[in-house]
Parts: sequence; C-alpha cells; structure tokens
Amino acid sequence: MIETMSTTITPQTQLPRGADRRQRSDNVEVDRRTQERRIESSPKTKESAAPDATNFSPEALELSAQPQEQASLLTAARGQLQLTVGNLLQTSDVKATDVGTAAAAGAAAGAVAGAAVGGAAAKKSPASTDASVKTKDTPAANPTPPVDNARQDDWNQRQANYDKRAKEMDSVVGTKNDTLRNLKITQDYSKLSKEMREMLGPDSGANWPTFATWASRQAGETIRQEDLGSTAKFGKDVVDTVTQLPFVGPIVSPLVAPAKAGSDLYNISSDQVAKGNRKVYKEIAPQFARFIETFKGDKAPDPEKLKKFQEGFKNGDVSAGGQNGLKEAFNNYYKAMFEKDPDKKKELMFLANGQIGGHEQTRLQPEIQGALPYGTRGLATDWMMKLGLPDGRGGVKPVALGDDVPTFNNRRAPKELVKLDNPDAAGMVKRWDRSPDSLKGSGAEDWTNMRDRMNYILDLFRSRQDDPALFQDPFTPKQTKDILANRIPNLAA
Amino acid sequence: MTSSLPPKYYQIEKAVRQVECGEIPVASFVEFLEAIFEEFEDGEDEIQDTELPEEGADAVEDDLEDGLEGIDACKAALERLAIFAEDRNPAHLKAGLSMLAAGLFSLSELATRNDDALHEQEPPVLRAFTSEA
Repeated sequence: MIETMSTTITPQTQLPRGADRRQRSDNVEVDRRTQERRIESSPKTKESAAPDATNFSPEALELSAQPQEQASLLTAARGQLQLTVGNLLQTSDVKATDVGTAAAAGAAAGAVAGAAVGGAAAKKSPASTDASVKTKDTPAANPTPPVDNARQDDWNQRQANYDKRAKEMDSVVGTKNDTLRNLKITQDYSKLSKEMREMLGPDSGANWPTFATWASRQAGETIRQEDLGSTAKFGKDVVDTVTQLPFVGPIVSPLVAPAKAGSDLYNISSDQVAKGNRKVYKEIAPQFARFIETFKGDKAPDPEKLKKFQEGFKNGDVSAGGQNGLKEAFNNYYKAMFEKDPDKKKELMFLANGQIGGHEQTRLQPEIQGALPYGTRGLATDWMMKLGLPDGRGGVKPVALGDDVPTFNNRRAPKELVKLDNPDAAGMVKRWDRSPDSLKGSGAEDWTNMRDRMNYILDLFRSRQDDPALFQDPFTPKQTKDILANRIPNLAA
Repeated sequence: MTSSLPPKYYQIEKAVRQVECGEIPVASFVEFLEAIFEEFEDGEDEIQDTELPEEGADAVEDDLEDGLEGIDACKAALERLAIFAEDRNPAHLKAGLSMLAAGLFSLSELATRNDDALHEQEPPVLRAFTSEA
C-alpha cells in the first residue's frame, strides 16, 4: 500500500481512505465487534445493576463484577487511543536524512537510476522497511549519556550495542509471516531469558522472558492452528451452549455456525494471538535488551546510570499508554542484580516478573477478548487454553489454564517465596491472588478476565521461580538454525 | 494554530524545507514520507482494533472516529506532499503542510480531550503495578 503513494499520487484514488478501507476489508471484523458490544449489554449485564446482596453464588459475583470490567475496558480503550495518538504526534524515529543515505547511495550505484519518485527506487521493499525503519514502540536511544570520558565511551558503546539489537528486533516485529514471526519471537525470548540469568546470577531463577518463551511457544501452536484437535469437542460444546442462551444465541450464532464453529473460532484466535504476541514483544523485549546492554558486566550499583536508564520509559499508568509498571519492574531487576540475600533476591525477581506480567496482560486485554467470543469464554478456557511447560527432558508438558497450577517439586513455591517479606510483592499477591497461600483456586474460569489471568499467572510465576527446566531451549538446534535463517523449520521433528 | 502544533509537524516541515532547497534528495524525502505514512496506518489499525464496552462507550466511540478522521487527514496531507516528487511544484508542499497542520491539530485536540476523559475515569485494575504498589 505504501508503494502506491509514491507512484501515482491521486489521493482520491490511491490509498483507500480510512472509512472506505474499513467498510471494504473489515466488514466481518466490525460486525463481530458490534455483535460483541451488543452482547456486553445483554440482559445478563442489566441484571448486574441490582445484584442480590445476599446471594454469594459464583454467578452473582460474576454479575456484580461486570460493570467494573466494562469500566476497565472503557479505560483501556481510552488508554489505547491516548497511546496511539500520542505516538503519532511525537517526532518519528525516522529521519529524512537517515533514509536519504541509503537512497542516495543506491542512486550513486545506478541501482536506482532515475528513480526520483515515481519509480521503483522510491519504493521500500518489505525487507528494507523492516531493517531500516525503527518502530515507534522501540525504546529510543538511552538519553543523554553521563559525562566523563571513560564513562561516556562505555555508555556510547553500550548504546551502539543496543541500537544494533533494536534494529534486529524491529526486523522481527516487521516479519510479515505470522508463524515465522512467532518463532523468531520465541527464540529471542529464550535468548533474553538466558542473558538475564547470566547477568542476575543463577540463583535469581526465572525472569519474565523465561516464562514468555513458553507462552510464546504456545501462542505459536494457536497461530499455526495446531491445537485444532480439541476443536471438534469444543465447537460442539459452544454450539450447545449458544443454543441454550436465548438472548445471546441469535447474536453469537453467525460467529459460530455449527458447521464450522471450531474453525471460525480458531481463525479469530489465531489472528488475535499473532497480534498480541507481536504487540507484547514489540514493547517489552527491547526494554530487556536495553537493560542487558546497559548494565551487563556491572559489578556495583550505579544510581546515575540507573536514572538515565529509567528515562527510557514513558511516564504514566499503563492505562494511559504509560510504562510506570515496566519502569518499576526493571528497577526491581536492577536491585536483584546486586542483592546478596537469596530470599530477597527471589522476591525481587518474583515481584518484577509479576509487574511485567500485569503490564503485559493489561496491554493484551483487547486481543484476548477479541480471541474468544463472548458466551464461549468459559468453555474456551476449559477446552482450549493450555500452556506447554518444559519437562526438563527436552519435551513439553501441557498444563490446562482452567485447572489449578500444578505444584512443582511437590510444593506450591520455592522456600524463599513461601512467605513474602517484600511489601510490594506481598501487596501484589494480596491484590491478585485469590488464594495467596495455596495453588487451589488458581485455575482460570474465564481467560478473558484480567483477574482470572493474574490470579493464575502469579501462582505460575511463584511456583516455578526456580524451575531450571524453564531455561530449556524451546526448539531443537536444527529448528533454531532455520529460524535464525528466516526459514520456518519442520516443527514436527 | 501553529503554536500548538505537535513535534511531528515540525519534523515533517523541516524535511519539506530540506527537500525544497535540495539539502536532501527527493527520493529520500518520499521514503521519509512513506515511513511516516506507515506509522499513521499502524495507528489506524490500532484504533480500529480497539474494543469497547456497550455502556458508556458512546463518547469513546466518537473519539475513536475522530482519531480515524484525523489520521485520514494526515495521510492525505502526506500524499499531497509526495506529489512534489512528480512535478517539483512547491505548491504541493505548501498545501500538504497546511493539510498536515489541520490533521495533526485535530489529533492534538483529541489527545487533550481524551486525556481529560481518562483522568475522570476510575483508574483500572493495574494500580498495583504503578507507584502505588
């Protein structure tokens, strides 16, 4: 689409105007969203306006929670709008002089002769776009380096290292093929995970990219629709349920026509999961790379350097597009890096992992809700949602997200995390974990519910903080080689 | 109006001045415009993908539409600027900048309005992950 801009230039006939574009290509999507919005105001929601205060059944609790969820969704919508518009108003990372260098060089070489704009030279190939255009969510270069020559040289070198990685990450984000992009993302999470462990010490246990590796690997199965096997049963249950809901059925049924209920759901899920996978990686992975490149090898805390690093986050609550939660999380990783007390260190790691988990899950709310049509979510959580965790022998063992988090080594948490002394970690658990001293009740009833997800995720993080199998490679060496060479490997191997 | 224009405007205006005086090649200028155009397309996708609850969502829905319209205006402005590459007529640059100013100004006003609305809303579930934690 972008190519047409430079070649023909008749605004009315070239790029489809937004409204036309939406009407032409997104009818199905718009219809689906409209239907979901209608569903949100179904009689079930209206009942919630006057819940029976004496009724503490799960249904009543769910009903009373709905207005809060709607308000949360409303805030998330405004937050997304603020983030999007805010980014568009700011200076782009792309500079006319930057792109000019390549173009001028190409012209000099004759490769783009005569290409002033109506020709091919003005067009960007997907590859060049991926490689040269820094995406807007990639953290900008670290702000002003500290003065003092040696320190500045060190800073500059680290910055250059980060810039190189940021470009590589931009390239991953820009990968057009959903499957290949997911594989690259999974591989890169694994790399970040190991680098973090090396920096923070083997006793630090799992970090966020460690868990993200396996979540992303699982996302890949959905993107590739490999977990379609359970769909037949799931699809039947969906249809059965839908037809039992007099108000919801007529609205949902076009989405889940019995003949192809499963595949429709998977098409929705696959797209949304791919989008969410990309979105989270695009925002969070570069911050890990920046953290690693900024502090790698440091032997003692450096408050001034930390302060500069922290300037690379957008101020504000995640709901408004800010990154305060991420900043706090990396601050805790930094503390963990120099913490000698193993108990405190594990708690800091758990806290940081949970903080990033919270940020990530808030960002993902639209994609997760979009992946699972209303009215099917409970069933979907039961039948579809699973996470493949490494078994320590090179294999993967799936755990169902609708079930309670399984114990690890017959315990609910490593000894350092049984009792939480860190007040922030304790506060985080108190806020989200419905059963703070047990894994019972951790299973999610509805994965589109942020509270359900966080309730599960914190138990997962806490119970497996020192599971060494999480550092297992997500792919075989041959598969990894293919992925790094931009090829989709044989994943059945 | 110009005094309240956002940084993006001045960045593009600078590129316009540079291409006008030959400081940067026209091909580079168009490539730059394409990259910016792509950012607006990404923004358009993000807004289109935003989900809304039914109740109390009318105002947000209006704002999302305003956002899409503002983006459309900016994209049209970028296309107009790119026409300069075909005939080297600086009138396209002038007209394009004027269109861009209008589009970005509307987005800027939307951001202010949306920010106010955000502050009026109850903070969402993530307080625990901010400084209040």
